[in-house]
Amino acid sequence: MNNIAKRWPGTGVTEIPYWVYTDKDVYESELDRIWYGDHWLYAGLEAEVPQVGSYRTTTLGERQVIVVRSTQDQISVLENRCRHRGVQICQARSGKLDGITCPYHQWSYALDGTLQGVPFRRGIKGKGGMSRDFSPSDYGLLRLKVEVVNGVIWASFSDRTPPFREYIGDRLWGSYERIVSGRRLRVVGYNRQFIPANWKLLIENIRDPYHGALLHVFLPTFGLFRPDQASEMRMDETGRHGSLMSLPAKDPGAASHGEDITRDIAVDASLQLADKRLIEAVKELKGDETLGSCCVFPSVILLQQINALQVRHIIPKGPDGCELMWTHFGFEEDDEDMRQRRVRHGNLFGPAGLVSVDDSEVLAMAQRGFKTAEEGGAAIVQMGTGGRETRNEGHMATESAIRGLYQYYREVMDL
Amino acid sequence: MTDSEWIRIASATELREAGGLLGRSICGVPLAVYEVSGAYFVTLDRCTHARARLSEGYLEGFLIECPLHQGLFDVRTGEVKGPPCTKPLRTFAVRREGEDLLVSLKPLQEAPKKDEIAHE
Amino acid sequence: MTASQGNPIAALNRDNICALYDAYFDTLDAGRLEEWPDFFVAECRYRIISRENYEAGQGLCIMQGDSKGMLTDRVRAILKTQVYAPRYYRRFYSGLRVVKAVGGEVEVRQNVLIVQTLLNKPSEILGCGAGHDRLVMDESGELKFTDRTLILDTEMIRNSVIYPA
Repeated sequence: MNNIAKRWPGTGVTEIPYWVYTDKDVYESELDRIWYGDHWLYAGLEAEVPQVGSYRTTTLGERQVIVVRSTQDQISVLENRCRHRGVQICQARSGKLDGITCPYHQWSYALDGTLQGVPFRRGIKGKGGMSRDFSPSDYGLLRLKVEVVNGVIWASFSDRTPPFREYIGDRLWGSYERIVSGRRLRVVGYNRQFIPANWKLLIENIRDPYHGALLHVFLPTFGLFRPDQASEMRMDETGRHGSLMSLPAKDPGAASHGEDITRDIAVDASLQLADKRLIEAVKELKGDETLGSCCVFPSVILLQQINALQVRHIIPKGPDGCELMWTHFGFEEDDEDMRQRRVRHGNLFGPAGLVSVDDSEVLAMAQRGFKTAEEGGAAIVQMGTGGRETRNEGHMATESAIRGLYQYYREVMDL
Repeated sequence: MTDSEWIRIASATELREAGGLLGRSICGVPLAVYEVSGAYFVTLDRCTHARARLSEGYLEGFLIECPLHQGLFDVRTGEVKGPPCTKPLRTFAVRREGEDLLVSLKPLQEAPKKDEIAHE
Repeated sequence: MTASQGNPIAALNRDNICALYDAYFDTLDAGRLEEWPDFFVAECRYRIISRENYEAGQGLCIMQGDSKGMLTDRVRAILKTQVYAPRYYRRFYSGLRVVKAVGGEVEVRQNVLIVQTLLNKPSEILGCGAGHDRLVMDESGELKFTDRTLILDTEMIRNSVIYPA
């Protein structure tokens, strides 16, 4: 049972009460049932920990973890907290370790989290020390369940989480595999921003094709996206994961690898960019989509738009805010042209993104709206065929995937 | 540092009274002396992992456990017997003459390297 | 006057360089965004990049342009297409020093602080960092940027970076 006093009226998902985005008890319950429950969380890319001992620290939910290559074939994800007195051990963002040693009392852990050394465990010259029945094997660093799938590291706080392939399901596997096909990845760089908005708004936003050409004026203005172009918003069977794929408004299949797929779709000659290299793209993935996203609930969106391949990692920070960590990546075989192209396309995303700023600013405006809402106020989610149905759709005038998300949400949260 | 002559390191009695484990500095070289079932051994008194004093550790049978991280060495051979240690421990020849235990600083291998000897 | 006439090296002196930076930041602080690209030569590079990426040699920027045209496109997007809550930026620079002068080009560094004020909110630090820049005299005898790279210590951005710095 939940500790949440408020009740969500009715059983539908065409109205989302504002308190779902602002209530502290709801947030605490989300951490428990979602973030630390039977869900896979994005923990990084294999390419970020190339050698034995390479590590990065990151945050899953609100808990900090160390992601480390503990043997050549094994990635460990360990809670970044000494089992002795609770010290957060690793303070750096990344590096290379032989072992994990707490600075306070030098308790030493192997790279897989096993407690190896407790200084003066036997006392000093026979005096003091831990009791004889102290068992180091009971005090290893907390180990998360880990799966590495096509170069992406997934971790879960729960042992009951099903295998990742089952978790993402058949319907969305194709959109996942399209972006991370198993080719060796290369990090292009990171960006980080704090967005003063509830974490769920980011998930909704990427499953909201309705806003695409209406909010992001840059996209139709410079021919990158039109409301009438072929698109598909698809959910998995539970409704929690979603993918949005969109083809440019021209004859698909005409582009071959390396060809510029944006040159034919500018809407107005007077609205040409002064330097088209800002958005000029070449085909590199399967299919002709210029936009392909795979949102794996609750923590991450993998997305391709033109040649910007990106991971958007969500870190909740209370009901009223979250951090968004961007990892842009490419492939090891990228030539200098492609490297530079990815850097240019990075202009559309991140904290100064010519497209993304619209989202992070509008979501902050939404959160400000929620905070002063009257009792019983709610957002309405009624766009889409039938107005109330929840199903995969092949057009953009729909909020069906948001309804699907909240169908799952009400169930997992028992709300 | 002297050459191959034998140097007195401890008496058999004081070693026994110390529970079979003593630390001594001979010509600036930190050494640990062990007695196990009437046999005597000497190693460098510095763990190869994080340089703690093995003479402050725990001796069980032929295994010396480092007090800092519980790494293990066999005092007979200097071999690593437990993590997190990976490098073997240098050993020295020792013999008993009457009550005296004598160590040879001309070791079984080459001369101890400078970084192994921390002057106390 | 072309760069080879007059005395371009003498003109690349600290007073002129400071005058350029004063004008640059004044233009931006006053919101005269359309004039911003004119501080750059045609084949230029502009970057706001996190210290994390810069020190790791990774190319991803927060804001980037590798031509004056791209900077113009950025201005057009800020003014016409991006959606954001209204705000002011005010930029403070200090510790300006010329680290190298080779031929007709100077390398200049300075500290930069960007203060943001959203409506009805207290002013706050949006970012602090270091500018690593290269300047030349163009054909008309004006000092321009060939490269402005602002390396931000501030890796966690308070939501958005709207305007350049």
